[in-house]
Amino acid sequence: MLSAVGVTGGYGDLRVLWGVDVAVRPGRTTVVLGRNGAGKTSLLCAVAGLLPTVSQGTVTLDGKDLGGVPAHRRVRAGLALVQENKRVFHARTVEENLLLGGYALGGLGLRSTARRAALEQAYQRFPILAERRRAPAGSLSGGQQQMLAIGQALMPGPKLLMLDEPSAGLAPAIVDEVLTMVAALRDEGLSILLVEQRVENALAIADDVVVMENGRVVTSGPKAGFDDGAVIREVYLGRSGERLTTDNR
Amino acid sequence: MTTVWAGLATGAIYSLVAIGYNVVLLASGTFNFAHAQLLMVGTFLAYTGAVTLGLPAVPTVLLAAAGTAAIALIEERVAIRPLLGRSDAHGALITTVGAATILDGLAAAIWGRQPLTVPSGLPDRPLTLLGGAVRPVDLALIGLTLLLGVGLHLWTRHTLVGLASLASAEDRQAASARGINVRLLGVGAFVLAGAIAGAFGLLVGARTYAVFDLGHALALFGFVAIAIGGSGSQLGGLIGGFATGLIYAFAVRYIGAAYPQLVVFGVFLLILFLRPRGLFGAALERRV
Amino acid sequence: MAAVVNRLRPLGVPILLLLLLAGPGTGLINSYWSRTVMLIAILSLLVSGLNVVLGYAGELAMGQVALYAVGAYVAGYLGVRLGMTDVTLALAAAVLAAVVVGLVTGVPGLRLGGWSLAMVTFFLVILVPNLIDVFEHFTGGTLGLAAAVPTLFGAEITGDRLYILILVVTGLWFAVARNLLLSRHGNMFLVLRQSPILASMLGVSVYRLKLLVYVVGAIPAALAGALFSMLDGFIAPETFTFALALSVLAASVVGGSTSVYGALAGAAVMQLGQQTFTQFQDWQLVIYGAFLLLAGVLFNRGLAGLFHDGVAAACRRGWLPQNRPSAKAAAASEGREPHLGRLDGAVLRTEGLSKSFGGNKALQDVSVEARPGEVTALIGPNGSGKTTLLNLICGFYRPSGGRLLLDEEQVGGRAPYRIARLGVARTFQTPLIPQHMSTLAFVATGRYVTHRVGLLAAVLRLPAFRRGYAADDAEAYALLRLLGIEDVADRPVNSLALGTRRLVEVARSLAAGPRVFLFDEVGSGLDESDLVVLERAIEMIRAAGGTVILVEHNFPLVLKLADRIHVLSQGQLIATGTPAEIQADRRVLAEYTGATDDEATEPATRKGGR
Repeated sequence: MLSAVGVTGGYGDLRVLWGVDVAVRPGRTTVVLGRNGAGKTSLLCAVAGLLPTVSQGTVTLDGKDLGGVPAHRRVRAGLALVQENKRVFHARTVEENLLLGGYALGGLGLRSTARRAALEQAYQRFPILAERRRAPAGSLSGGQQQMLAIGQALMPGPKLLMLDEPSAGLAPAIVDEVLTMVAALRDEGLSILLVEQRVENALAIADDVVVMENGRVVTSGPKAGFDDGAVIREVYLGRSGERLTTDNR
Repeated sequence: MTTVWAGLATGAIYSLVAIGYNVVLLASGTFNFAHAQLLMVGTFLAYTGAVTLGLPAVPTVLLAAAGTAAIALIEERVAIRPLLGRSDAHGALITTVGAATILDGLAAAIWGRQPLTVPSGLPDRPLTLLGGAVRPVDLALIGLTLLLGVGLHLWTRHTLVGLASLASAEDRQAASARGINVRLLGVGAFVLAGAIAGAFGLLVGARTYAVFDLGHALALFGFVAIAIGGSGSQLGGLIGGFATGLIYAFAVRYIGAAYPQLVVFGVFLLILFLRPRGLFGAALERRV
Repeated sequence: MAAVVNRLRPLGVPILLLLLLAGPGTGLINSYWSRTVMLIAILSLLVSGLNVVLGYAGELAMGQVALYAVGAYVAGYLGVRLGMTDVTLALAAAVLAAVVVGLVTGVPGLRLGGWSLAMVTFFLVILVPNLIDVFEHFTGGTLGLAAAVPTLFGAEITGDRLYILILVVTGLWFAVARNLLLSRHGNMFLVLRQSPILASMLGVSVYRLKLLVYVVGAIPAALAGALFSMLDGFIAPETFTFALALSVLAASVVGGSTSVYGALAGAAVMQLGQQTFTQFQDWQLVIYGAFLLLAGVLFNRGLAGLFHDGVAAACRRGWLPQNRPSAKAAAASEGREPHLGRLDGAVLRTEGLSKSFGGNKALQDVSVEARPGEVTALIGPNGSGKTTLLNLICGFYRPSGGRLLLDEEQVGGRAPYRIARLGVARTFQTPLIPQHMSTLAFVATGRYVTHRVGLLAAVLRLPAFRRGYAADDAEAYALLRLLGIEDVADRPVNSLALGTRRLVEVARSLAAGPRVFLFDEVGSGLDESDLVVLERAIEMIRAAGGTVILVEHNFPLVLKLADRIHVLSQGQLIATGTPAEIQADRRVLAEYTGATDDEATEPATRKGGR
């Protein structure tokens, strides 16, 4: 359903992605692994239309070319991105954050029928958010903020959910909760593109795996090929011998 | 009490400028130095409508609002949009001063350098209210400005577009990731600010005359209003504007006609020095 | 030939000045042109003052006109009312008054940054007629003030003498400005403009430096005012208008704000345009505005920028000799094996350090210690609080609780520049790199505070300045060599690739000879060969006795370099130990990878170490 081919780009003259290919099959989950600075976040940004410069490559969603489509229209096309570090609007309340998440639902009424329905759904999925609906998002705990960020992204009913390190900075119990949530979303049939540092957790959810290093894909394929712990070594302990040496970012 | 009314009427104009600054600041994060000039253009368009074309009040207001909004739109296109994505921090500092100067110059070239009297259409005879004299046009100015400030405050907090503008002021990238068209919002803010400035042209012009360098003093006092009220707070700007007007009026009455600007300047320096976030900035923030 | 051109290059401006000075005496310049030259000189003083503030400190100050008025009235008052007509006295008094006004408006105006200085100074311009009125006794009010004939040691200064006086004062100011801006001080202004964070990390108080720049920029404006009062012999409020303020601003951006001599070009364009085109008066505001708009949008480096581009192109094509400022420094370090001198490392310790943002506890009760001659690594998954800890150590955040000790002295909560001055140097996850500066000069800014060359020494180009400059360059070059990147010494530092930028930052942090090094993700984005260089550099710092704190995701690099590893997770310290202990700690790897299966995370299978 999502296919990005040969994506090259970065921030002005500074290139951070070099011909990256990534695909998500309908109803499946693709996990992107790699060390810090490998270009994972930039890849998600490129798909979401938030990378300042994309010089080459195509991104298609359900066969529709997204080249040149600005970020806010990509949301309407069915892409949803949960950015890293729980980027919710701190000064706004939980409910306002969720309603803003439903901005792409169309119509200008703050509490239109569609937005109210989506809000009810979000509260059902995250009861804790319903309890704290009037609290400013900045006063929530890290885990609650992450729930809010996911809830926001789900408001417009996306086809593809992209998550950038949803477990970062959370306590183990919360991490489990968040990742269980992601697994449940997958089981509901949502297509997911997940960037996650916790390789084991991520692999438990994954159908396909992409490993990135220095802005390039070094290996990718169905999860079956990545089951033996070799991935962990590759990603975190460095690849033995065959590192790319052409990096000139 | 007459002094209070005079202060509030002058203050209303400063509030209007502060409100205009805030509308743009909240939606696009830019400080539009030229906003006071938009108000100046509004007074001239009101003059053109009411005197040159001899239109009644309502069409005059509509004409001024539409014309000023169009100018604001052009300003955004020429002075702000080319800078988006630039790293240089003071680009907009220079270009909006440039836009303001061009507007000054064009106004002087089109309407001349002499002040023009703008008829408000309201009776000129002062009313006595709460023990002070006040002209009906000043009363209208005070009332409508109050209404506008409070209305905008409520609108930003209770409508989808208003909330979206607050959100994009807080984090532009996150806002566009939520499907908000931040660029359109920024353009819209310019147009809205322009339309407001134009719509008030008639009332402001009736109080101050239409004159090409009206913008200078207004820009300054509007900024003082922001400094008092805290930037990005509509209510703060409203209160800050009225406070500045009152300080001005009382300085004229009790210290002397040569001193009000000096006194306001002193207050401005003091606030920057003691409460850089504005007197009401923190208090209003906590209420969020 | 090349040597001759290079030798003559710095003489170009003085020769031009000499020709101009001789102009009227030799009949080369008639009285119309001599007046024009004087007016350009006076305007260029105003513009130069603005350039210092706008182009180098990045603050918009519109008050040049007010200072101009101050200079004029101070000189006028001294002459008319007190009978002190001596030129030197008038100029000195003008400068003093400018400093006072600069301090009064700069202290509050610079507190907030952004628009507040612009507005304070703009206000000042609007107040000028007001103030002239209020101080009518001193200023003659709206009627104006007829100035006395200026004298120098008793001789009257009129006609050609006045011409020479104005040109000499202007020339002297530009010499001062050149010497100030083309020095470490000017470089530091550029760093400040690009990144106040970096400036404070280099030990500079941002506020005080901005104030200094602003006050320096006030001086030429007041000089211009005093000279103008002598030229016109009459001071009237109509001279000091907002339109003049705008023409100064327009001249600045047209000439190029971030340049020394751009002020002359901009002033000449404005003055000549005003005199040549009769329609200029009617349309002057539109013209100024258009200049500002165009310059702001299109060529924000002005005429000076075009000139520099032209020179650079000519150098590339071999029409002009290449200018290699690093040649001398390279020669000085020739034949020496790159090595580091002894570093006086300090013990850095945190005791129960905590930080929370709103409801989010970013760091809780963290106690770590980093010792001299050791590499202490901080590792942990994203969001575990590593960068928060670094920011606390640097003073960018105030701790919510706990203590931060540097050699047993409590430093938690101090301003970043104070902590930097105690010898804490840092690199950034995204390298902070200024514009308009060579790599060599940027690395040398690391020594700005520790190896300080005074302002006066720079302005007068005293021997102390030359020695300091040569030492700075030699040291910077040696550090670049140490990191194997000496070939980029003369390249603009903002043209470098990410990997090279990281190494440049390491060199910059080394330049201060600090006691504690904080390296934030310094290995990410480096290729294999750069990584080898980096490893060697860190090992050298350790061997030299420096305290190194490494925040790093590259696990093999950490295992290889670290003496001690602290593992953070969710803002808490979960393990501390040697690399071997940490490797053996299953909890750590589990925390890192989220693994639950013991088999898969068996650390003994590690074979990734290169």
